[in-house]
Amino acid sequence: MFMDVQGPSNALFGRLPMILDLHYNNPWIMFAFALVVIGGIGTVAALTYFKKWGWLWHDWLTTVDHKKIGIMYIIVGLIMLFRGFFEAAMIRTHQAMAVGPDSPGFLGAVHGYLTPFHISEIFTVHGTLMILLAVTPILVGFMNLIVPIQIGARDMAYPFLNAVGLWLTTAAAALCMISLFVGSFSHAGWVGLTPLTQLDHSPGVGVDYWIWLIQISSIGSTLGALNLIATILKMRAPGMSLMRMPIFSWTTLATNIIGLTSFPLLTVALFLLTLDRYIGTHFFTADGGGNFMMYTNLFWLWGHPEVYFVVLPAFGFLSEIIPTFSEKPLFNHTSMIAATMGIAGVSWLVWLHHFFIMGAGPEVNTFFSVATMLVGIPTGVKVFNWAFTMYKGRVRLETPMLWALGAVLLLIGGGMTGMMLAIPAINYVSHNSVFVVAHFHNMFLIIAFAIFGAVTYWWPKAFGFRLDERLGHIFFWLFWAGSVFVFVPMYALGFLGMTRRLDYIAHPSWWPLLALEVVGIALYIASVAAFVLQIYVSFRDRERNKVTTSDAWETSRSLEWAAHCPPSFYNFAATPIVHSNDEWAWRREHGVTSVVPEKYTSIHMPKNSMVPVVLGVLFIIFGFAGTWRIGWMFFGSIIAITAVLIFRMFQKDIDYNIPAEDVEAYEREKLKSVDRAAQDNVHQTGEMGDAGTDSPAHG
Amino acid sequence: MSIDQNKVSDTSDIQLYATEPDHHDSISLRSIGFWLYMMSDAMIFAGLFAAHGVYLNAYGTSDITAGDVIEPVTALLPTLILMLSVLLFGFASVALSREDKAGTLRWMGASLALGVFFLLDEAAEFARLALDGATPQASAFLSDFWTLIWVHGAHVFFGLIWMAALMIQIARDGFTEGSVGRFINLRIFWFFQALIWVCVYTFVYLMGVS
Amino acid sequence: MAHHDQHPLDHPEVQASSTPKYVFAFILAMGVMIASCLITVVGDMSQLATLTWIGVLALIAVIGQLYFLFKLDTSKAMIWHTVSAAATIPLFFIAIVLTIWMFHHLEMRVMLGAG
Ligand code: HEM
Ligand SMILES: [Cu+2]
Repeated sequence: MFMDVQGPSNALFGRLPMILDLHYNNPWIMFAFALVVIGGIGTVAALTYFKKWGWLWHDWLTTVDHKKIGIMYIIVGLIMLFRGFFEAAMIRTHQAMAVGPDSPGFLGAVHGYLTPFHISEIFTVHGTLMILLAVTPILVGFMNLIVPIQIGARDMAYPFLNAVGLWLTTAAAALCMISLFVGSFSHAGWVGLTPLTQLDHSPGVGVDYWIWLIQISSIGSTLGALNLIATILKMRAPGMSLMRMPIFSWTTLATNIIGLTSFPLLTVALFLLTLDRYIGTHFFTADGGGNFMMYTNLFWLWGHPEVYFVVLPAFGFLSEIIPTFSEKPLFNHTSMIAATMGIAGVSWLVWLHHFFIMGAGPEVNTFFSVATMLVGIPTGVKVFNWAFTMYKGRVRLETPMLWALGAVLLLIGGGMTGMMLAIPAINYVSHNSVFVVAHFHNMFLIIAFAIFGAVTYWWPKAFGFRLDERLGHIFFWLFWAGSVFVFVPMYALGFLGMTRRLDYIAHPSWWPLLALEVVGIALYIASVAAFVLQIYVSFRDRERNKVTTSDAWETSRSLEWAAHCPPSFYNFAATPIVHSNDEWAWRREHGVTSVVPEKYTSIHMPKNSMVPVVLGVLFIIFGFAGTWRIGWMFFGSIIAITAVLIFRMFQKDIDYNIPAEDVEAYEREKLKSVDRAAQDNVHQTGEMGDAGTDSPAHG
Repeated sequence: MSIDQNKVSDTSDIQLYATEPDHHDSISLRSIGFWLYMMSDAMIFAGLFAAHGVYLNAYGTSDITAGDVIEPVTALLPTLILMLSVLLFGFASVALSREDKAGTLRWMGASLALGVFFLLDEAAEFARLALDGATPQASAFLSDFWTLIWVHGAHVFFGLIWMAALMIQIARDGFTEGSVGRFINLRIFWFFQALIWVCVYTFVYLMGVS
Repeated sequence: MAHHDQHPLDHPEVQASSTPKYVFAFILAMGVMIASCLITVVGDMSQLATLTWIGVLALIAVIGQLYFLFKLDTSKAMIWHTVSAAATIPLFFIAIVLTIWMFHHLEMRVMLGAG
């Protein structure tokens, strides 16, 4: 029943004996391996030396607190993001070196320093990881961290499930790291080009790693999505009607509706591919009646909604940052909600624009072309709403606002090129050129900018101190310059006809543009250094950068700014009652910014659990066994996962009550660090009045 | 729209914080989450049905056609068994609402037995197909046919494990908030298998031969 | 999270159980499937008419199940269940119908599905 595979394999170890044949003489892999081993040993040593293992286990790994889970999501995402940056640098430098027949070759490559197979692996892992293991976890992390506080909830609807989602994502990231050293990764592009992904064409384990890690992370995303939707629908504080809900929470809702309904289609696409690869079905083969465009169709049925899954939360960040630093309410809250839901709706009707050239004919292509362009309407509404928010506002160019403005500017470029690509006649010539690559990176950069804006904006909320402004500005400008240098030449190369995923560039006249892109990469690397330095310096000076009121920016507007910085583990000592779209701004206007409730009551909280971590480990084993075709281990892990779930079902001692006295004592302790004078000062700075002329933020 | 609409002139009686501990209806909360999961699951079937619509005649070089492997009349038997299993689970739910533990367990047991019967019947049916050479490897159409039916079958299988575990829990702990909440979710899951089966029967068994 | 004064069995979703409704849903689904089966196996309508009829019948059964089994309605307990189903069903059909439509056109142009 199972397919015969090339190379050695046996019942006990599956295909693992194959790794004995692999080449471990590749200096790049050895370098990465050394990095990971040294990093790992260093972390273990530090944890042991500082006796932090208990802290790590009790406070972080087994936690079900949405804020800590959110932070861990963001950390996993940032680590993956930096791995992704590294790969990008390799692709760019290699391409700049492999130009023309006379270009030298190093390390076994004929031109440049990466062999064709190796560079294919690199761009595949780059795309897969950036979308699924970097940007998605970071965004989901922010939703976890902020949304419950923003809607006045104690926690997510299902705190336990939330932890399971985190550990599944982490399991996928772990598999991605394992694939770097044990075996190889897929070389078939992040979209998994069929029939290249079939066993005949990709006999190794790379495609299998790619399949299983995506499947595992999709389960995590689905669990996260239903959790956030249920949280938003059911856990809002009294008075917060849906129409009063802040836009970031709205975009979270829209995004997760997209996620919940589109990830299953990816699951189907990859599941059918798995069947083709493992038992020899004929879904996407050229023979046996299969149709490999069916794979492309199912993939993009998920793929396009997914790009809106990642862009909508970024729009949500902008909608929070821009009003805060324009000192004005968001222009037309209702139309912003409508635009958000509109984008989510249309995102379901456009997926064929990724394969216009399939040739389904003019009727079909026209339908999807028009549908694609319709996205421009709600997106335009958003851009105008942000612009009108700034119009006649008191715009303060602090770091988060810089990132937000950069993102809005980038949206113009990305949106315009998207519109161009949406015209089938243009698409037939530009498809699979680097023009497309420039387009979607342009769009993803919006997300990156919004993310860095959000990191700076909510950092004080999460950790109680602000990030250094000066280094923040340096980081921004370097990153901005890097983006310009990498992607403007890339648009130009696209027009010149350069196709994507090249390991060798035949056209020597393209070299100057490729070299410019390397300059951009250098700027990017410098910007990453500035970011790391910014975090280090801010942490070192955390006493000086400390925020002493709940409202770190003094002009913030939504409810999360009514919680302490950092919030108590139960968020609000007493559930806030909501009176307005911009509850915190409303309270500030009315001079009722007290963070002390009239009365403390007992609070009900979930207990920590180690089950999610255990599930994460089991899923790593599951994915690993699937990849290497170790049957007993694969089915064994499924049985173990089922058993753990049943065990959890019978667990009784899963929650506890904090008595009112304890809440009060805890809050008193917290309030000691709150600057009462500053808090009062915030009272008086009226919304439209002479807001904060004396506030330090203006200095 | 803006804040001004909600402007209050007298701030003394604004209530900022709730004075009661918050109550959440845990059964409703569980059930909406699980229902959302079912929506996601429905989209799995959407993907499979979409593929099915394209592979209807995708026989490749195989000479086994839909007419050879699909017998709508015989398939009425597993259909009846599954629908009955769902009906009996409904009776368990009615017994539950009357706080009748023995009745709940009895009907659940009967529903479980029928579910097992359904799976065995399907397995026998497909074993026969395999013996006749109609394996999933024979053509894209057959790959699709096997996959659709057995993705549904896998749902039934895991549903049965869940049902057995829940029966033990109800027998041991009675009707607690946890067990009743799980019962409601399992009810959603089990009823959902009936709903999907109506689609499978119509679009796979009937459409295949029409 | 636990703790409310209400007994779990008083919950509206528990109390929504009803023998007549379940029996009716059962009869409806079985009736519909038997009818569709007869239409397909012994009926001599055109293929299009057959497909339309069995499609309509299946839709009736599904709607009946949504109402009588799942008790989807606009009551406070069920409103979000209903809304999420109402949001998912169009996507369900978009995925299926547009896929079939685009591949139908593709096959017409490349003569793939001729076999
Ligand atoms: C104004 C809105 C947008 C329009 C009209 C648009 C249009 C398009 C079109 C037509 C293509 C296909 C090009 C081709 O392969 O020939 C495309 C590709 C792509 N777009 Fe967009 N897009 C828009 C926004 C976005 C956003 C927000 C994202 C992500 C955040 C995004 C990500 C992508 C990706 C990843 C691809 C390339 C897929 C691939 O071939 O690997 N787009 N876009
Ligand atoms: Cu797209």
